[in-house]
Amino acid sequence: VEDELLQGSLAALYERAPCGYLFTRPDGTIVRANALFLQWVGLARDDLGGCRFQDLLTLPGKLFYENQYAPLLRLQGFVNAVAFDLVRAGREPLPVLITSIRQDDDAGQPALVASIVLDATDRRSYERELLLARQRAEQLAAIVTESSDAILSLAPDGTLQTWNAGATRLLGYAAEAMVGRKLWDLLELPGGDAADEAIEATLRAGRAVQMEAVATGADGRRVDVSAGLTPHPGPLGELAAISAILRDIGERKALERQQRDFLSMVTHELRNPLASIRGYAQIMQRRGEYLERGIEVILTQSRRLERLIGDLLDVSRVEAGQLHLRREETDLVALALSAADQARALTRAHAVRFEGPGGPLLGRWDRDRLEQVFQNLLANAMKYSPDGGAIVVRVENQGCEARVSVTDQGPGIPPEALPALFGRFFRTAEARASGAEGLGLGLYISRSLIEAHGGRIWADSTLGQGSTFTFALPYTVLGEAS
Amino acid sequence: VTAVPFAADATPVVVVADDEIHVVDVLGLLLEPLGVRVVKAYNGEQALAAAREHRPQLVLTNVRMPKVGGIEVCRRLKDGQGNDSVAVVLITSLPHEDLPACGADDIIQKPFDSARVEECARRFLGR
Repeated sequence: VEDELLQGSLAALYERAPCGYLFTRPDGTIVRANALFLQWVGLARDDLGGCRFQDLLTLPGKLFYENQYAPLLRLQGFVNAVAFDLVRAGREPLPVLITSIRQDDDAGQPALVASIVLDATDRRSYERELLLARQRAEQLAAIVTESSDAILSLAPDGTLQTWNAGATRLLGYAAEAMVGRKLWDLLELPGGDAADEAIEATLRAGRAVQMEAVATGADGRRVDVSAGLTPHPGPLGELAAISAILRDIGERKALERQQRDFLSMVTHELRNPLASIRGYAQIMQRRGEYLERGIEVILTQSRRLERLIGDLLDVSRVEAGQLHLRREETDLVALALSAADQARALTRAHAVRFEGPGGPLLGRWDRDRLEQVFQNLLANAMKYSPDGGAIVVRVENQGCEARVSVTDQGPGIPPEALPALFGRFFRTAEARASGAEGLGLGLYISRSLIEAHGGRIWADSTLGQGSTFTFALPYTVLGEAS
Repeated sequence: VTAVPFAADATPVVVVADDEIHVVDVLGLLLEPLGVRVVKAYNGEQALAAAREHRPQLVLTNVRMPKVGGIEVCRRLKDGQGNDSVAVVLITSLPHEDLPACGADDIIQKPFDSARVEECARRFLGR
């Protein structure tokens, strides 16, 4: 009785197993299959007559079966866990794993093949996820590799473990030279060693650190960087690793320095005239008397303040793109003559000379703005030829444009300073050292004014012989209503 | 060199240095009524030369000047060689925090009040 029950149970297990069971002849003809297998391939038990296993496979599977699987089975008697796709009527092929065992008859000839068929849908989707995860990881790695920032990983004590190409570009060290060294040795922090310890403590407490520091590059150059350090805790909450991102902030730092310099320069330039004005006013108030010299200084210094404020306003107009011209018929020769007269009145050391046509040279230009350019160029010529000499204002008609140049006999401008001369806040090292007043705005404003006219301005200079500043103004500007 | 350093009847000497002529003139007009002799300088080199020649009790110097700046003038006057009793006061438009340490006895901000300059001069000249 027990044997019978056992047989029945085996039959039930066979039919209701969570995997497919399949028996075939050596040529693949299906002899028997359990319910799940039949359900997978969408066949009734009666449809099986003469059906071969390989006919249930996709074409690549069928080829693989005939060329690899069946010969291997004949050779070694078994094949373990090989992936196939089962064709199913009206549905997607089903991925399966098949394990087969050959049974021989008494004469030792292959008689039957028993196979276990496992549904590999889950496994296939795991494989796909794994592949996607790997692609994502590779993308992330590529981002790290190709980033222009230095992206580094560190042991909890700051020892460098990875060093990306961005770090090499930023600081010049190769990865081999850096891995194993401490990041702290590269960074100069505002607080010194105490800062190192404070950073380590913050990271150990699980908080990120953002700071600015100076890093020393391979060639000894100092690089301003922003550094972000992020702690990565281990399973017990301990500090397991640190990631660091260093970014070059040299440009921003240079801009900050330039702004600071500018502010201190503006302050200096505004306070000096104020000191003279207030000083003379207080002296006259206290003495109750009129000082000719005092009044004169108050007037010239308040004009100087007015010019400075005007220049600052012009610069902000230029920056905002709101420099508008009032074009009217203007005689360049008359403007040049009057500018030369004004300059003559301001200097005893220089001989200011005009060279140009005897008659007017007319164009539609902004008279006040051109006057401003003349004044700037002539003031520079006087300021930067302190030992005197000739200053020549030359006006020429070149056919389609008018040219004006102002030449001095000063010490000249070093060639390396020429390209930056018309930039904002630019002053040559010589100009700074000479202590000559100025914000470095005159040429910048002049260039903006000439370019607004559709013209151009440039400088030529020979050291020891003097400088010539020239601007060219077109008579008509294309596309502009007259 | 005609100045006699410690003559009993010597008029106190003040050296005033600034590259702004008008500022130097204003300081001269403020200080002369105090009964001092004002020696004018227009850059740091002239200020140092004037200090060597005239042995002043007080040097009022601007900071930003061509050739030698006021900070350097102060350091050289305070280096312990020669006239080390001289008081040096910086007159500057720069904020205090931008000035490096140089041993100056006081700092006057530009634009200054005449009363502040007089008070400072009296303090260092003992008048």
